Amino acid sequence: MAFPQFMPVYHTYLLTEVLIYLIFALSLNLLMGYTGLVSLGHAAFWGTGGYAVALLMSKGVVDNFFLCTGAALLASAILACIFGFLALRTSGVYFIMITLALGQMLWALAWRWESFTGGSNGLHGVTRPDFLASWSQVNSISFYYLILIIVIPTILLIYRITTSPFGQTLVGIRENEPRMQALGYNTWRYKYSCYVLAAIFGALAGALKVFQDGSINPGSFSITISGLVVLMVLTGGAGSFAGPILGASVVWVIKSIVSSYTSYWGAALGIILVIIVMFSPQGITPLLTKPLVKLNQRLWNP
Amino acid sequence: MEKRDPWTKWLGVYLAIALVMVLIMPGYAASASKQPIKFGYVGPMSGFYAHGGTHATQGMKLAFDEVNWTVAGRKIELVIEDDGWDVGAGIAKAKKLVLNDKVDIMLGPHNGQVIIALNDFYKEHKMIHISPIADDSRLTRDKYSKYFFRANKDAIADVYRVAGYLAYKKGYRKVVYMGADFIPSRENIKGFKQVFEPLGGKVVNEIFVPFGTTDFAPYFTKIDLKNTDAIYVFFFGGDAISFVKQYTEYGLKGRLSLLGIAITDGALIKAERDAALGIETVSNYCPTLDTPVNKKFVTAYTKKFKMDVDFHADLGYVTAKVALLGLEKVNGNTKDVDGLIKAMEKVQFDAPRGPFRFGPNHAPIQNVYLRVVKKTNGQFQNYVVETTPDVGQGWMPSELR
Amino acid sequence: MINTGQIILILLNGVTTGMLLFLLASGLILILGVMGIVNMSHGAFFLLSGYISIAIASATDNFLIAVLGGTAAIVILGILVERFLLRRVPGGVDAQVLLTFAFVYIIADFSRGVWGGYPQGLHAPAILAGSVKIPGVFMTFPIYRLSIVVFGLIIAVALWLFLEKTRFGAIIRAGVDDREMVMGIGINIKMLFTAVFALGSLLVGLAGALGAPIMPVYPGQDWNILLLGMIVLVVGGASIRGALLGSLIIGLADNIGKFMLPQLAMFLLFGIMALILALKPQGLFR
Repeated sequence: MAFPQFMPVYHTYLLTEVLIYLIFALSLNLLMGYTGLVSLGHAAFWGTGGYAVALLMSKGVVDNFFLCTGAALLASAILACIFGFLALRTSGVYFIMITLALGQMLWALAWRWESFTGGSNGLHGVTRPDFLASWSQVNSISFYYLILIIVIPTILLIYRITTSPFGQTLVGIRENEPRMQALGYNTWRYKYSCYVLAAIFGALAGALKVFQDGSINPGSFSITISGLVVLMVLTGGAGSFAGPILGASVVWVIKSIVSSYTSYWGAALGIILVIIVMFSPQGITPLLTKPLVKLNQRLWNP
Repeated sequence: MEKRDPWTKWLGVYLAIALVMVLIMPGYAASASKQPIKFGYVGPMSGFYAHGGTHATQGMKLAFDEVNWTVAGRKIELVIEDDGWDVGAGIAKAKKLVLNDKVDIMLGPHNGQVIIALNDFYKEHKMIHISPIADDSRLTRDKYSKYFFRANKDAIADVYRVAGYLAYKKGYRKVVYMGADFIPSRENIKGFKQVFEPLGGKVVNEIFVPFGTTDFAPYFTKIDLKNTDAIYVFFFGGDAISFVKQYTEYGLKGRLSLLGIAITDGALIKAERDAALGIETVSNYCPTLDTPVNKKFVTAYTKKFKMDVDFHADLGYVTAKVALLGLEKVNGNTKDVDGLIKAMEKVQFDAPRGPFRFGPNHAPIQNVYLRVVKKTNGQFQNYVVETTPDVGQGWMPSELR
Repeated sequence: MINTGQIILILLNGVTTGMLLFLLASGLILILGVMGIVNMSHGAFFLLSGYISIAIASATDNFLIAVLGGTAAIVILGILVERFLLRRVPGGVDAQVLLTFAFVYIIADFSRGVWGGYPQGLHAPAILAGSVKIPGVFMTFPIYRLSIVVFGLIIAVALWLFLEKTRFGAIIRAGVDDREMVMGIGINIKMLFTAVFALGSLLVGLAGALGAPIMPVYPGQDWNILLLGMIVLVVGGASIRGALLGSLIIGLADNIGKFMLPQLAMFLLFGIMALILALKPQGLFR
């Protein structure tokens, strides 16, 4: 575990960002990796979570970190309940398209409804929780610990979900939905639940990001973000638990650090991706886990 | 045995990330040296607004070239960070420059929303930030911070008011507005109306066009030619090119007068070519401005960077110059931030765009030019038709004062 | 109060925009239909074709050579990508989509590195420049847009003839329906895919070059194009007929919608997309 007191402040900041994107990627993985539903509009929930917090805080309605975050989760769950009905009428390529369309419409809404969402300028004035005030508002370290305290149980929770019978059923649906239906599972209900769960965790990530930045703008709904998180999941390896964790870290580190050295970090990212796809299309995870598994076997079976 | 597998995966992975971060650390830590003066810039070096950051930083470099990268005996360093015009990335990079690179003065951020988000952060760190372009009017009004200086116009209250005045002087009384669909566009027409309407003109329709529109015909079709004298326009980039071309192609040129903002800037004319001829725009800058300072600037710029001057270059130049002149006055003492601020407030010089000085709330007072596109020696260029001097935030024409 | 001149203009513009969309979307739809891949770098190819055509046009001052050059460049790129990368991806469709995704970033940065971040445009060739008068309204209509209709129809007919009347076209159609059987007959499925990808690249390359006088090229345009292509795909359905009719519907809906309700301009196309997906996900003309 990295201890921020020993790191330059910017690294604490980066690590906090990675943790947030980690949750976002894990949330998408529930939908994409485990259930096989690729979404190009997952930013819809990231943005909803973020705007829920930003709206409450910037308009001075609610000041409390936990209440705002809770509202973010609730708002996203409600949105997912509605969107899910529409989106799950489709599958495959069409599911990708409808999630894309829904995400874009939210983006357009955030952009145009200026009186409410601040329009293209977005909303400012989100402050970090008061109980961190003793460390000073802009100090990244205390915020990092707060994020860590939230993220670790979340990761464990998502892990439990994926290894539970519910999670296994999702994998079954991904592999062969008609068979699952024949076995008596109400596959639609499972997909719907997964969709809503993914939305809730996605909103958590989005809400935390707004506390990190202090502001939000319609870009949070954009296809850029949706595409980025899909990239994270695929890079790490969809369908594995560690995949999104690795993917989020790698993609984010490249984006943040390489971009300080060159403005062509996009090409760097693209090239690395090509290499990954050509040599390890399941993502980076197998590259790491295969040697670790072998090591494990040797340790316990001399 | 199978049970241990997931643990290996999970723990191993997180340790791997931590390892990666630790390894990258040393190569990335800030240098401890305090002697040179470090300037930081964060702005768009990639993405659709890449030319903004490229030209702004090049303008800064030119200003530093002029003083041999030294001021008051201290060497100058410029750290450039790319935010791709994304606010989140801008915030992160801006923080990095202050916390990690320990810059002395920010020549940026480029993006106004980043500045607003970091208002308290900059106050906390007593960081002077001079933005080349952030024109959100809140920055010199309700969100004013003494650490902030802006090197260019305000979103509402200067250039667009002059445009309203010029439109009225040209005899336009009924104007339709067509502009990009975002908040600065709405502020633009607001500013325009603040002068145009009290004088007696009327904006008969406001049409906002989404970014990326390549088809202006449905919008053109809405214009009632019998009840409109002119169209006032605000577009950038690809949209500007499409608009200017279609203004001609769909037969509006010659039937409906045009006054524009930004539509013939920089390299856009190269793409628009004949379609741009005769188009009038209002701006703080004109590359063909016939002053010794501007001529020298343009020559040096095109020679060094092998590209045409763009108004962003002048913005970058002015931003850097303000900092340089301020630093000279306080003998390079970056520790006395309040003293430096006072020195910068009094800065006055001839910039490529004309005389430059600050007014109240660190908003600039400068010239505004009415320009027209002509073709000379096979080159399309903007030329100044009329100059309105001493335009600052809150400018009003003499008729309305 | 809408007069007939305005109606004529809106309809005319709707059709010409639609045809441009058809050009733009046909490559995407062909590749999806036959190979099952959503070519995420579709927009990037379009953009690259635009940049190359503009570069050739500035050098030679010849529109035709510019268009041919841009198209050829993209065909070559497509063949290389398919043969050496796409085909060799050891994973499934997901991996191939990721690969095309990666190209978007690479092509975008490459274009910016070579040609800079400024938007660029192309001018229509002299014979197609100029505008014609529209009766009843003060506006005129650019001839080049009218010629796009002609280009689009030629390509649509050519594609139809190719797919319906040639042996190769028959193989492609068979490949869409039943891949294993096609392989069983002894047809080299690998070559088929390369050919299809090349054809798709030809279509998008041609679209990018022909479209450059109307759609300026700049970083970010690649995503716009991809989104437009996806909208056409959804509304029309994954077939050539679907692409043509879907494009025309979108073109008309876009123009009429923007004319009547400009405030909803940003929602319009995606709203239609979502509606069709909810009601008839296979598209209107599958």
